[in-house]
Amino acid sequence: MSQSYGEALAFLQKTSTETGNTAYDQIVDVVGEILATRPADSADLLETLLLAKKTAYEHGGGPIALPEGEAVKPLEEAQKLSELFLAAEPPINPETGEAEPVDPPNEFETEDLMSGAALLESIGCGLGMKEMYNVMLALKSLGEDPSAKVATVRFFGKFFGISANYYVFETTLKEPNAGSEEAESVVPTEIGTGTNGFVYFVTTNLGDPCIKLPDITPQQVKDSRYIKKYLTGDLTAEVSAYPTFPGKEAVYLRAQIARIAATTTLCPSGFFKLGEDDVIEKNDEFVPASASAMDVSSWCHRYPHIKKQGRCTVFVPEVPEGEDAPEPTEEESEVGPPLLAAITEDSPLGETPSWTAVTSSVVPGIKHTVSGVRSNLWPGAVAVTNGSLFINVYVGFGAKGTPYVPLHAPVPMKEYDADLVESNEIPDPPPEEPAEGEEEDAADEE
Amino acid sequence: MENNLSLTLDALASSGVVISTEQKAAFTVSIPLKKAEAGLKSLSLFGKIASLNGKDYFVAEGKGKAYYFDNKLVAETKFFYTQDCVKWLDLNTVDEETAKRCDTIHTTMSGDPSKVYTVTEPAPKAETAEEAPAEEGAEPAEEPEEPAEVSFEYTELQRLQTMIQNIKKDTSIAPKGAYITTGDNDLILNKAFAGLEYPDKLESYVLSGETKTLLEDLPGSWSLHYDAFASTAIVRSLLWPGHAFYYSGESNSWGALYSGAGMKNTEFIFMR
Repeated sequence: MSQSYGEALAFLQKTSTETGNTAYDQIVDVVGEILATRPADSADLLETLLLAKKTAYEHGGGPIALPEGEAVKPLEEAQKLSELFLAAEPPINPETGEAEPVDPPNEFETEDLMSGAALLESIGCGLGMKEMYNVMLALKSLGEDPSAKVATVRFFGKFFGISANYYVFETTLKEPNAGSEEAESVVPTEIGTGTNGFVYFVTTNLGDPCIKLPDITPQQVKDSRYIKKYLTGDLTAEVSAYPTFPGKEAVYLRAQIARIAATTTLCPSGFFKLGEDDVIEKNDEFVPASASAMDVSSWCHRYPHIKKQGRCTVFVPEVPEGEDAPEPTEEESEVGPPLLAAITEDSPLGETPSWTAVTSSVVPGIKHTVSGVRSNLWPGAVAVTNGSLFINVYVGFGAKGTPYVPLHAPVPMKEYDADLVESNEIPDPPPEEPAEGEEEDAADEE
Repeated sequence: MENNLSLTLDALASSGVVISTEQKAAFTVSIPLKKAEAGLKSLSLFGKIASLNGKDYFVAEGKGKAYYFDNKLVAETKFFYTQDCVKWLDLNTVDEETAKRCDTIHTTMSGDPSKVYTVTEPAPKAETAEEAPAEEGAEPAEEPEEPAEVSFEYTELQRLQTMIQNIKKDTSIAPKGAYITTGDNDLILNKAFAGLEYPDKLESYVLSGETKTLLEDLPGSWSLHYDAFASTAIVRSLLWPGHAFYYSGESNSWGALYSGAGMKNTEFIFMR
């Protein structure tokens, strides 16, 4: 008995030539682990432990030391986010040790984002309450920033990128860009109206200062329609596409924002009305409808439509006096939908309607429901209301929902005249007679 | 820990994967109920497929046992769907032919499970053409008019199942080392999994059932965001927009949900 026990023990303690371990040590480890942790299902655990021991990659224990540079950056980002929850502290002058005077916070107006976030959550859209709260704090920080001087701020949405995401804020400035529509190109850029009616700020990390996006030109809007790209998360990244996009990712993002804003920013029908000179103003006689009675027909567009020309209002070049006006091009003669057009008038995408109505509840008879619509043209764009409060938001990849038709490459240029290849014969020397004729002609004219 | 719905929703809300309060409340009751009723080892929410009438499809994946057979992963997996978030109905598997034809439909789901889609394809070359010359002497008989096209009818549910199968095939990912095959080739959760060492690298995630890591998958088809401070990684599929996966080193948990139209991004090559 004792002899065979000794033999068995010796066998188990035989050292593996590969790893230097013994079966005995491994069994002791495993049994020790089970006895130490006393798991409920030790039979399953035994199997996994044995297998894991065989297959697991061992790094020698202990936590892995991250390179220092990598560990610091996330810490800073989290620090900045946490500062949003506190009152801003003025910087301390290192010489006097006293707080330096700072500009008072900027006064601004904004919508009730958290109530809106609750509405979005109740129809299964948005970003969740926790993230929305951080967004709200970042929005407040942008609004109060004395250097940005915004009059109104609205959370426009979140764009997913390959390596970072963009949070986009839509603002109007107290001191808008001065200047008139410059005719630097054939079709001038709209300033302060139309596609540039709002100024957009963007950040990839809530808590970081927001970066102002440039105004968009009609040509950039037009070019963005030919391409469909994933965003990278870096505003300075090249937009590698065909046809070539004239600008970095910041411009492409701005163009997508302009297109999404114009198409998917909605308001309940009747909330705004057209005043004098087609100015959109608040309708004081608006009676909020019950959200449960709302559907796709209860919504209308809030922002003007972008025309094929890349502007909201069609530009027709002035004709110098005394000249006949040329026939307007197809772009110049486009008549888009009127302001505050109902979304039921939007052209469908083939058989697919452009909007889908969603509701917070399918249980019949529930009171105080929330109703919304989501865009099928720009997946990720939603508008939601409980009757009195409404909110729009975009959460998505910034790509249109229609099939992408890549543009053909241009026809290659001819290298040389192909006719010459047809014959190997040496051309005849030029006949002399016509030359004489020419001389005669010349003489005749004289 | 895998596929804990609360944790998953919490982690993926910032990726736009949000389900409504009513749906969440309903699932806490209806999923365990269905699990008990169908006698499953586990039943977890797979995701939501958007539909045009606003009645989105929710799909849950029930699991029995999984094992390797002939070097292939064989799993007793069963799918269920619901539109009211309470009544879970069976989603039957579709055969390859059906799946192939359903794949050719590129419209958003209508929201009506009984809607019938018609797929037409050119009729297969009839064999009669070869037989005809063999009949010597016989008058050339009038060839029976053959339909140039044959059409097949599929219900929206068959399409739904096809979508789920496709998404599942391309996007079911897990942290490397989180699952392990037992002696009798049963794929089980590795209870000794201590977490990923490099959660910020695509190499750390494998397509489950395969040994292929995400780095070896279609290049550029995955987007990985790693928040080192919260030690949370978010992995999004760019080939199946709407699919999101999270891994948290803090709680050593992971999970995935799909929220989209159920369509593969066939324009991926232009967009990347």
